[in-house]
Amino acid sequence: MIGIIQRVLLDLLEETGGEPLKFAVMDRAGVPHDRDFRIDQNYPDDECLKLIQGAVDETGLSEDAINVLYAKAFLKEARNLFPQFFMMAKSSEQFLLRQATIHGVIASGLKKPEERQVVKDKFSARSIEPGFVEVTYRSPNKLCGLFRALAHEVAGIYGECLTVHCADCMKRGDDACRFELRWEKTAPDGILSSE
Amino acid sequence: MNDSERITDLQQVIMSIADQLCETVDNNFDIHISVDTDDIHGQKLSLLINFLLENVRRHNRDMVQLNAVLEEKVRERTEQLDMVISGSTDGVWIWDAMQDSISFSENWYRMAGEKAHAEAQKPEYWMNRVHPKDVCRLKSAIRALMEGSKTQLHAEYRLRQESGGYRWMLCRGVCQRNDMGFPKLLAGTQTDITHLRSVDPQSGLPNEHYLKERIEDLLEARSTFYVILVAVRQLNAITESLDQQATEKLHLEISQRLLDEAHFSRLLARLPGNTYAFLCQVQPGENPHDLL
Repeated sequence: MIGIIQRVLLDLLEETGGEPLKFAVMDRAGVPHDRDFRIDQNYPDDECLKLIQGAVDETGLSEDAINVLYAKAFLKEARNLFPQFFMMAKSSEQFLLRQATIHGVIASGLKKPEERQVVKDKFSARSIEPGFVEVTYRSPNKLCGLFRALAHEVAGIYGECLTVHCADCMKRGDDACRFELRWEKTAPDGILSSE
Repeated sequence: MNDSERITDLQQVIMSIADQLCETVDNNFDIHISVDTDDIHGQKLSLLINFLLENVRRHNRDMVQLNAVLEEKVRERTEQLDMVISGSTDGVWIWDAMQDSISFSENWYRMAGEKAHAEAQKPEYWMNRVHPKDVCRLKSAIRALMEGSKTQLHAEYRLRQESGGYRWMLCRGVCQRNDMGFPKLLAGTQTDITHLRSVDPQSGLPNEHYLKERIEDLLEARSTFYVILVAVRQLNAITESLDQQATEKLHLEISQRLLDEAHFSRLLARLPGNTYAFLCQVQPGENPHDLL
């Protein structure tokens, strides 16, 4: 998994519970304290999953609650790092349609083509009709709960209301997760530019 | 890291990326930009450049694939076209309007009784082989096609043979234009229609058109000649009582008897109205009356 994921999680833990919480989670995952996660490098998936599970175990929060907190922190970091991606999209619908491609941008940092392809194949999005987008997520990590939280947070950034229906889910035995994203109302224009 | 060290680090990142990008000068986009920095903005820059490079590689791959598909299609179409052309006796001509040069197929040269040339020819090569009486008509038809007043070329003319005679040709073609509407390419076929135009299908003898052309040639050459017309009277009354096979046999019999009487230097033609004509040029010293 690309280092930005772990980096955001560790920063969030440090911000919330200080270094002791961060190091405790790192210990649970067997990650050395001096590990600097880079956004242009790939790290073992199971290590990242252990970090997330460690965060659940150390904080006592539910996985869903961790996902929501993480989604907020991730999008904050993403807006700092790649503000243009958010400026380019006039709505969360536009952003989430482009999200698979943005995910591919992050994957471009990986040196090995096969690693790049694995990351790129995780997401695909297509517009069914205005206000209705279908996103497919395929990964053995089964972090579909995290995507759901991220989608809601993106809608929140644009001041929009989004419903996410998980039509297929790998956790229920499906080959891939298929999300049906529907927007109930359009956002006021320029909500981002006013910030 | 203080600000000064950070700036130096970022400068090194930029220089490193720029050095690595120099590889692309040889159209080598199969490179991966890597930077040795803890600065997240340096990492971000390399990441986006790698995304850009990957897109270039993907577009290049798509172009190569598309090119291969197009080449395959062109090869298939060329094979089909070659098959059609080789299966036909027609000649093919392709006129590059920009270069003002024409490429002729082997069949085209064969129709003129000439050896094929690999190199393209000037338009005069063609026009100089067309009968003087037909060349204006052909040029006008080509001009109309080029100017756009006609969308298709359709012209009949006589093409001089290397051996000296002429054969009737039907030329058909179309014009391709550039974005400005100017002619870019003219292309078409040439069909030998001598038999269709000059031979009476029932008897196999030359017809009235052919006879007329020969008479015109002799008049132009100020030659002395005579024409004997032989009318077979009441032939229709006889053929009315015959079936088609018997009628054809009768016509062939008449033609054969007349041919038996014709000297090799005389031309026997069949005219409408059950009339036959002998045409014979009188050579110097010969007396037409004696010949008759």
